[in-house]
Amino acid sequence: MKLINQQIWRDNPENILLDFLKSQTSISIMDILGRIIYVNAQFCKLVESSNEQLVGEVNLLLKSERHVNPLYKGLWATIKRGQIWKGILSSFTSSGKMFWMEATIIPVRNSKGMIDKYVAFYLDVTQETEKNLKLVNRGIEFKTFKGNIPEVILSINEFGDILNISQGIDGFSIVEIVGSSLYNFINPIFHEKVKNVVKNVFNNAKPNRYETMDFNKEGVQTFFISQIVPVLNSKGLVISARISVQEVKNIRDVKQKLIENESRYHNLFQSMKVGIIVVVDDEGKITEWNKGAELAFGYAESEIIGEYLTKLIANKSRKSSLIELLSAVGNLEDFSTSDTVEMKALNKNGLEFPVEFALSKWKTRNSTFYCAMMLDITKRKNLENRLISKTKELELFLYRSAHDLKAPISSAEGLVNLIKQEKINDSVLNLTSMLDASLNRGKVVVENLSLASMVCEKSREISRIDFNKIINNVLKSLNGLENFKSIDFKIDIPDSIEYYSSVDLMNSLFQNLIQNAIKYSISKKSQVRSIIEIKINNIQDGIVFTVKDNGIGIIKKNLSKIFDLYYRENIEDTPGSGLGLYIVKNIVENLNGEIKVTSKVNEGSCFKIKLQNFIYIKTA
Amino acid sequence: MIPIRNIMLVDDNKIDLFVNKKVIETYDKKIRVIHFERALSALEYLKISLHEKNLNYTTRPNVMFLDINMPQCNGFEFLDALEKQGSLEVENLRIIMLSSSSSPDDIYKALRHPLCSGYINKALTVEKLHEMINIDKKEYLTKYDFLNFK
Repeated sequence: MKLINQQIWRDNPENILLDFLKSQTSISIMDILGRIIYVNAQFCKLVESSNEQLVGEVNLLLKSERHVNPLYKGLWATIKRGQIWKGILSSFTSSGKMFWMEATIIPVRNSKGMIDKYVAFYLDVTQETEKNLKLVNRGIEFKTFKGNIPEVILSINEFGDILNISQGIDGFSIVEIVGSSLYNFINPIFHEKVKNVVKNVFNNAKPNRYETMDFNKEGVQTFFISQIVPVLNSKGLVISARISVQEVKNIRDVKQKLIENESRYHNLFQSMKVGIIVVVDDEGKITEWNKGAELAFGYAESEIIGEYLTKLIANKSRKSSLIELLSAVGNLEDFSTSDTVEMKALNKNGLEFPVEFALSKWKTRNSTFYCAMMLDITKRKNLENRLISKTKELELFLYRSAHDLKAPISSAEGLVNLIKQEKINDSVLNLTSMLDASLNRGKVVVENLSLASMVCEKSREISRIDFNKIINNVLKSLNGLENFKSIDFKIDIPDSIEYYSSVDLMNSLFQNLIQNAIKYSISKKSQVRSIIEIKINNIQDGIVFTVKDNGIGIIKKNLSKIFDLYYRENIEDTPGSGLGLYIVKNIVENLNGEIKVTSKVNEGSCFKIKLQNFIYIKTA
Repeated sequence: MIPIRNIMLVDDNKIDLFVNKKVIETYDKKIRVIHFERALSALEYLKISLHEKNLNYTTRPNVMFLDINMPQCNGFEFLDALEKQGSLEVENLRIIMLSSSSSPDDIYKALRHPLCSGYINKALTVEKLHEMINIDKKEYLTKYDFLNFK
C-alpha cells in the first residue's frame, strides 16, 4: 500500500482504490440469503472457479448459519445483526487445495434500512497460517509437559515485531497481536535483556533462551521461560525467529526450595572451620568469608568485608603472588576451578603462613566473583622441609661413615703388609694372606658404599653427556682388572646423540655396568674370545643403551635377584661386594629410567637401559 | 732430581704413622722420617725449616705425605695455610696426599692444588712409594685423565 504514489492517489482516488481492491483483495457480494451476486477476478482466482460458476451459488466460504461449527454460526449471527464480522476462514479450492483468508464482511442496508446485501473482502493469509500451524504442530512435538503449561508460539522479525502467533494472549486476538511489537507483552525491566538475546539470535543464528517475569491479572508473579530459535532461509540468512513461551507454574515451589538451599549452603559455608573460604568480587574486594578464614587470618567478619584481598597476602611475596594469582584467574573459565596455587598469606598479627588454594569463578547477572578455597599448609610445609633436611643428613651420614670406615681398614692393610715382611712361619703367612683377602673385601664394600652415597649427593648437576669420553675413562680406570687384556670392546656410539644428565651418575652407571661385564666375562670355553658390546641409540625422548657380554651368564631363577643389595653370583669364583648392580639400579631409578636384563648361561648377559632426556622432562 | 733425605709424615692416626714409617724404612734405610700427629705442629715446623733464612738445607724435608681427614685442620686446609705463608721456600718440597679416600672429588681437589704433586690411596706400600718418587707430576696426572684436568 505504501508503494502507491501519493500524487496519483490524490488525483484519482476512486480509480486507484478500485484498482487496488481489484488487484489485492478478493471481493464478493452476496444477497440476503448468502447467494453470490458479484465476485471480482481476484476471488475467482482464489477459489479457482469462473465467474459464471460462482454467481447465483451459495458462498461456500461462509457456509450458512445452520453450520455446526460455532464459527459460522457466530459469523452469520453478527452480520444479520448488522454488525461487521472479522475473522479467519478456511476453505478448499475446486481443485481441493486448502486456503486461508482473513475476511471482513460488511452488511449493506437498502434505502428502507433493511439489510439486503453482504459485501465480503478477503485477504489471502494461507501462507502465514500454514506456517503458524506448522509451528503449533512442531511445538506440540517438542513439548514434554504439554498438559500443565499453556504454550504460546510466535515468530518475530529482527525488530521484535510479531509476524505470527499461535493463539491470542491477554485477551487480544491473533489478528490484533500480529504486527505489534513483542515488547508490548514483556515487562519493561526485561526489555534490554530480551533485546540482546534477540540480537544475538539474529546475528549468530544460534538458539537461545531468556526468562521473564510478569504479574498476571490477579497480581501474582508469573515466570516465563522462552526459547528462541532462528528461522533460516535457503541462503542461510536469519529471516525470522520463533519463540516458544512457557509459563513456569510451579515457580513457588522452586523459589521456596531455592531459599531453603541458599540458607542451607550459606550456613554450611559460614560454619566450615576446616577450610578457608574467601569470596572476592571482580575488583579484588572481599565480599564473603567463612569461620575458617576468620580463624586463620584473625580478622572479624566486619573488619574484613570490603577490604582488598591483598591485605591477606604476605608483603614480601606480594608481587610474585599477585602475578601468579592473576595468571590463575586469567586461565579460569566460568564456573570452573583452577589448579592449586601456593602462596604466603599474612594474618592480622603480621604472621606469615603458607597456604595452598584452588580458585573458582562464577558470574551472576552483572558481576563476576572469585572464590578462593585455601588450606593452611604450615604443618605440611614444615614436615616437607624437615624431610628434605633429614634426607640430606642421612645421605651425608652414609657418605661420612663410608669414608670413616675406610680409614681403619687401610690401617689394618698396612699392618698386614708389614707382618708379611717379618720372619714368620708358613701357617702365620697363610693366615695373614687370608686376613689380607678379607680386608680387601671389606675395602671394596666400603668403597662401593661411598660410591652409592655419592649417587644421592651428586645427582643434581646436569650437563650434556659425552659418552665416548665417559666410556674411555671408565675403560682406562678398569684396565687393571684381571681379564681386561683378553677382552675385545665393541663400542658403537653415534655422534648425533644429545643427552643431558648428571656426568657423575653416568660415570658410575657405566663404571659398574662395564666392571660387571668384565668380571663375568671369563669364558669357560677358552677358544672363544671375550667380547663386550656397548651400544647407544637415540629414541624419541631419551636414549637406550645396551651392554652385552658373552660371558658366563646368569641362571634364570637368579635373574630377579641380581639387583638386590649385597647379592652376588658365583661367590667363590669372583670377587665383589654385591653393590655394583644395586648402584646401577639405583641410578636408573633416580633418573626415572628402566632397566632390563636378558641372559643365558654360558652365552652371556645383556643389560638394556632406557633413560629419559632431562631436557624433555623440563620442557614437558 | 735431589736425592730424598728427609720425609715428613702428617697423619692423626698413630698406626698409619707407624706403618708408613716402616714402609719408608724398608724402601730406604737412609731416609730420615719426621712425623706429626697434629697438622698445626707440622705447619709450625715447616715455617721454621723452610724459612728462607734457614740455610741448613740438609734438614729440610724433601717429601711430605699428608693425610686428608684430620681433626683440627684437614689436608686441604693445611695446603691453603701453607700457600698463604709467602716467605717459605716450598719449591723443593713435594707434597703427596696419602688418604684412604678414593672419592674422585678428593682426588680432583688435591691434584688441582698447586702445592700438591701426587695422591696415594692408603695403605702405603713400597711399590707405591717407589712409583711416586720416580715419577713427576705431569706424567702422574695422565693416570687421572678422566677427572678432566686442563
